[in-house]
Amino acid sequence: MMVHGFSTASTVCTYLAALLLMHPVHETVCEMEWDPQRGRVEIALRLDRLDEQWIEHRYRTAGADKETEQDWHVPLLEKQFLLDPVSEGDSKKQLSGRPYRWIGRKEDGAHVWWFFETAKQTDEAPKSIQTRLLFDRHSDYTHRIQILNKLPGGAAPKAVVLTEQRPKQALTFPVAP
Amino acid sequence: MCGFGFGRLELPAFSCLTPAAKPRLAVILNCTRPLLAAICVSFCSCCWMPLATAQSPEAPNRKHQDPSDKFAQLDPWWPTPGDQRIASGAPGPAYWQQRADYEIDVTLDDQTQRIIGSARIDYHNQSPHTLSYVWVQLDQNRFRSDADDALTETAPSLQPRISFSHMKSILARRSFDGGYRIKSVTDAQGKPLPHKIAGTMMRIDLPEPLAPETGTQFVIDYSYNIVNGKTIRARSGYEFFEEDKNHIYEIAQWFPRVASYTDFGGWQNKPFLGRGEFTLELGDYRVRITAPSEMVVTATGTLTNSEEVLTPQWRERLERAKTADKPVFVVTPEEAKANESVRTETTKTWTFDAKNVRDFAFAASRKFIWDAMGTEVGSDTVMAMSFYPNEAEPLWSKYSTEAIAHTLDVYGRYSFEYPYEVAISVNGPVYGMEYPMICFNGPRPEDDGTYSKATKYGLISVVIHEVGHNFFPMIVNSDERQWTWMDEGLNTFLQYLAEQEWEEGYPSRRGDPEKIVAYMRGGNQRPIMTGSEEILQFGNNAYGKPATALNILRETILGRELFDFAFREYARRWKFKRPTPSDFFRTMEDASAIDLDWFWRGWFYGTEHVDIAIDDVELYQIDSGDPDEKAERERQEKDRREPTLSETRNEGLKRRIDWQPGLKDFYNSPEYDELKVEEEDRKSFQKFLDGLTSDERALLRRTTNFYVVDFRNVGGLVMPIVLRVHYADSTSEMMQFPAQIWRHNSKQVGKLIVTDKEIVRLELDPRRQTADTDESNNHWPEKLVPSRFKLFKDEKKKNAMQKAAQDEKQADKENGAEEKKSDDDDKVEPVE
Repeated sequence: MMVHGFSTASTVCTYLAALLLMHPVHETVCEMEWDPQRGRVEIALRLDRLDEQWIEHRYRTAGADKETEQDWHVPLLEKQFLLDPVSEGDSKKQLSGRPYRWIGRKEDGAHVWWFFETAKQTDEAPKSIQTRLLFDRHSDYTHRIQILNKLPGGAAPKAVVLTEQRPKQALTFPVAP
Repeated sequence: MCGFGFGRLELPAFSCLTPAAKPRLAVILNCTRPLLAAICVSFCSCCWMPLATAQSPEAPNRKHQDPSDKFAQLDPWWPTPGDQRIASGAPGPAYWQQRADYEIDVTLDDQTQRIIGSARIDYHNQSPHTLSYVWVQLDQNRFRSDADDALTETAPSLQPRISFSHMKSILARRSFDGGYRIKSVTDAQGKPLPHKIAGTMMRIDLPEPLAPETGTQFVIDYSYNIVNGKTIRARSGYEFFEEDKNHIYEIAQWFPRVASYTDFGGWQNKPFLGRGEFTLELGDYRVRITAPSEMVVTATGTLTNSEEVLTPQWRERLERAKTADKPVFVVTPEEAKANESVRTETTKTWTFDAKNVRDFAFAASRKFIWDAMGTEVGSDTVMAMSFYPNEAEPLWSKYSTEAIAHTLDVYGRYSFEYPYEVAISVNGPVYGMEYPMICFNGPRPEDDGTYSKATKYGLISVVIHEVGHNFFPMIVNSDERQWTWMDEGLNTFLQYLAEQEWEEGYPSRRGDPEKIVAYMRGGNQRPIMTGSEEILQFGNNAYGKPATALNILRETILGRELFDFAFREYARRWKFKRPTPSDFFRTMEDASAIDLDWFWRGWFYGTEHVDIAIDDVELYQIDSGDPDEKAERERQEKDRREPTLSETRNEGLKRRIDWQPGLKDFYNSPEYDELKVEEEDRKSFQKFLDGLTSDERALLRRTTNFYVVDFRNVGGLVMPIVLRVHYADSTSEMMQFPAQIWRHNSKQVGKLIVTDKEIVRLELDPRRQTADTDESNNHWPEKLVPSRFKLFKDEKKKNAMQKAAQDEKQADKENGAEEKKSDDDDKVEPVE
């Protein structure tokens, strides 16, 4: 078991962490597109604003302000929302994935969209994803990944669903003809 | 959107008819209609999977390119109507339901966080059946270490790490000494009754079979340890405040409750696994709650001994609150704060009476502030009241009680008047859970008293939702343990309506069709009509999808007037009764006079999604057969034709016939016109005209455009086609074709749009009202829809002045367009 982020967790947050269970929001929605020209994955992640508030309380480092969103969003995403995860170090307990670049956030009613992309240009689209985002808030969270690149014929690929029981899945980005 | 056929708008759409051919409109239009059978075949593989046997209407039909009939009636799936439940969806003349009345004495032990109770139950057998035993729910047994709930929980992912809170919860669950201690089960005279505990159920064997229209009494003495609601998932429990060493208790599912016995299911003895909530018999309750004297207690029902437990000042304030137009503090924040440190070592007993409720819950704490406000419901005054600690301020005194009153008002208009005397919201360890007249709601502000917008609307929404549950399922008594959607879905739908009546632009989480799109197109789903414990993606399945479906039914399919009448009829028919899904489905059809079987089939019994595409558009025009018109049209087409590259380059090329004049003949002379109309052709045409009636001749003179728009059902779920048609004169109009357009072929259809104007653009579902999951195929001509990411990034690149200028430009454009189309939008009715 590893410990993280408790220093900034307020009473309210831990309270909510234990109790948001009966009438669940409990999902995020992610739109992901591989841009072969730029060699980057562009990501729009929709969260409930209460979830964002919880994450912010729990993971935002002390002293960061709104102008330095990158300071806490990117480290969080790089630890909890991993593309092509690989084990780090000898203990193999720490995972790392592709580095991200933060683009911004936009409120959408009761939800908020986070926009970010892979930071380094590469030739190949990622092949897998692993997450543990919000599982420490509640184990029933569902993360739905919708790949926007179309299959031949124009259909959208089937969405990938990540749960605590199945937090890692393969990603298949259709290749443009 | 498929990439073919969009260049054909300019196709000459009619066969070249000779005047002798006697053109008829139908003939002309049929003769060039292209077949798309090849396309259909490619979609057969993704057709809706039949649920029934080969004999049913749902069986695959190999003799049609669309093998399923999405409009087949659902009667084979629904119970045969009878005297208990009739075909209209209403209770029948022989409808019956059981009844259970309770008298309970309970002690809340604040030292050991324990409940000690004695429940006397009067059970009335109003069924036509003789019963030899009675099943009782022991929901606290869910917290036993050997409970099915724990044993059937699947493993979480423990790698690479797990949070402390999650680990604490797992360990607390293992060590908690939960579950009922049943001390005795006796009859009214104290004689022991044989009983058998099976998980969360207990069967009490009756000494004599219980005949119809008779009753029996039994008494159960029991106790259990209250779960810590902060560490273990629960629908009730306690919260401990380290700073002042106080607890807030939210106590529910706390006494042995007689299981329901129904005409449609017999005994409801499904085990309690935590998710599927409950259904119980309606009855009257008298509950005496003994708690430390300094605690404030609130509960389902009316407090009947206020002079014994409330101070004179509190009673005076409560009386004043009945006619107040703002919440009045009965127990002030200062009094609650002072009360936190009081320890009298004495107890008080609070007595509550509740009539015609299906359950009973209560809350108690030294920390409670209490505010109240009378709200008019019909000719009665209902007391809307909230109980919360100082930690919940200033958020709760501002919004909780107001949200209760708002809920009673809005829900009352869409269903029936709230029939109880009180409606209560309590802040404590449970985020959101409902019981008759009382509910538990969790949101609180930050430690410094500030709160975010998300917390504010989180509180208002959860109060609306939980108070709303009084209507569904506390009064319209559906079976939550079997069908979560029947209360959560209907309630979330009304919650959405109530939220939108709270303030303009209220940030509702669920209800808007576009909010459900991501779930609908994704995997890992089961139909809405799935048992509560087998549901995947609980929130979307049981809350979001049914709420959205009802919203679409209201706004797009039935219209508000028809829908509201039918929905209200359902609520009133089943008020204080037990509806099943088919009663809801049948009532909605019966009261609206609209066949909705296709809608229930698609939205409630299936997992397909909405994705309708514009595949192709073709233009047809009337060919009058006039040879002069034909020649002129051909001449114009020839003139309009752009020269080929070779023709352009060959301009000025010296040709042989230019320097060898002898090569020229009649066909090279100016007199020769290959498009010349012969007099014989004119005579023939005139003869044709002479044979027509004046109406037929007028028809031939029309310049009307006949557009055939091909639609493809990519997602599989049949829905109305909502189309905005843009014309060359910059006007537009909305058209809506009912879902029945798909009744002969649910994969693809063509629709004829007849107009004297030229269509320049088509747009499917522009107001996002059908939950269409893919906007990229909603446009003709095809329109590139940028991703949300790219839109955001582009927007970010602009500076504030650029954005302002762009907004201004866009506003001008929209205003201009609105002025032109507003009349059309208002007056145009659905085409079918």
